[in-house]
Amino acid sequence: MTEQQWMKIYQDTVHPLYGYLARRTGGNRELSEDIVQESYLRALDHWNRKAVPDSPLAWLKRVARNILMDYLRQKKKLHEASLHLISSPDKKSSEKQLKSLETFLTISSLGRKTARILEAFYYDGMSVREIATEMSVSERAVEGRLRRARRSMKSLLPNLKTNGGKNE
Amino acid sequence: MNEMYEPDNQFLERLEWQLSSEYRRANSLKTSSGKVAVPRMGVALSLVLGLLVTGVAVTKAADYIRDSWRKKIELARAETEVKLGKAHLESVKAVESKAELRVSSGLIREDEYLIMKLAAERADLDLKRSQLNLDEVKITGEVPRNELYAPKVRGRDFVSERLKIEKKEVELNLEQLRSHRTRIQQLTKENLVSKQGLDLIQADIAGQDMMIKKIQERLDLRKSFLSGEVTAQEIEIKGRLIAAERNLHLAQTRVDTLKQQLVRLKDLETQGKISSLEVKVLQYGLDAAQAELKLAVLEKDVLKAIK
Repeated sequence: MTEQQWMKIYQDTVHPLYGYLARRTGGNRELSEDIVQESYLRALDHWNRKAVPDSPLAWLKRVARNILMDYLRQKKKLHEASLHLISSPDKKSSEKQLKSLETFLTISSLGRKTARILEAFYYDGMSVREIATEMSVSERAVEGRLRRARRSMKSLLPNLKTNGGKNE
Repeated sequence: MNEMYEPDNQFLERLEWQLSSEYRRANSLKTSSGKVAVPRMGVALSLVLGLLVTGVAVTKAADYIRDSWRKKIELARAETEVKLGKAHLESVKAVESKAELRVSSGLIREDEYLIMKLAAERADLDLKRSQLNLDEVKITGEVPRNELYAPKVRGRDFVSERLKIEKKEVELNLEQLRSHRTRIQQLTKENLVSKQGLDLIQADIAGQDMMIKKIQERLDLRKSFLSGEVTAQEIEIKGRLIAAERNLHLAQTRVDTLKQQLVRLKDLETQGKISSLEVKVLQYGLDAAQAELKLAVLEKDVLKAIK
């Protein structure tokens, strides 16, 4: 990988990668920036030793997601994360960020496939058809999983609104 | 599009700089990594594996072994430094406690005890620095970075932590010099030493004061960089300018000191107490120091022009 290729990948992916994380962290800037930075550093290390994957953005998103999961686990899930967020001067946005992280953790606990569908639907604003095509399953299967996932989410997070699409 | 989900420009600028410098750093390491010693067993094992798998797999395995060995070597080096630091601290502390007993029973002077006490504090700072390096190597697996534009590592600012230790060390030097100055002042009053000794200490104290100021400037710069007030390019030039100013000050101090010594030696030569050779040696030293001073002035001017 030449330096030019590396910087081109960075320029092509940094905005969608940041957006991907910011939606999952409820717009927590510091956390999103830290994870974006760490993801690129890991990419550089990995791609220099191996090769650039076919879809660098997909690779970066996967790594960023894992880092976020590790972070939340390390922070003893939401207990310590809430302490960190409460220190923010803007209480309202802190609460929103905390809620987003809580939602993200809950989604992740529903199993890999369901989490993937829910994230694609709620965070990335993909339609049922788009998800079905990407995952090579029928639209009915996606709808079924979404329905079951909504039920599970409601029982785990009773105050959560699950009627939306793209998280704006 | 919601701005909340868009990165800000300062972050992008910083990240772009960091990624491009990381790329260069990683690739420069790649070329030098051939010098890392790999145990013969490891090489033999790689060769045996090479018979079993394809050529591509061998290359990848060798890369992996080399990388993991590099990490292991860095980690072992950092761990050894911590062990040595601990042992050094223990021995210095033992000497310090003995000196404490001796000073309380009047066997040694307070300023002599202070030297031991400060040595123990320095050893403690050395250990803290080694521990910091170890913490960083454990995370990155690479040599700790000290550039002012180096990124935070998992949210931890190792660069500032090291600078604070450096500042504390200079403060300890200053404390020792001040105590020494008090002693020399006393001896000068009693006409036991010449006033020149006092001037030299005074110059040293001014030098250390300046060092503290420069370290603080570097700490402030680092803070501005992390808060996004200055770009990585700006910080590099400013950092170099601070270092150039420090070098200039040190060169100027050295020239001044040597000039004073030369006057004294010439005086002694006239009185026939020393040979002309000693004066010549000092003159050469002064010439070299003056050349260094000129270079330092030039470096500062060049950097100021860039700024």
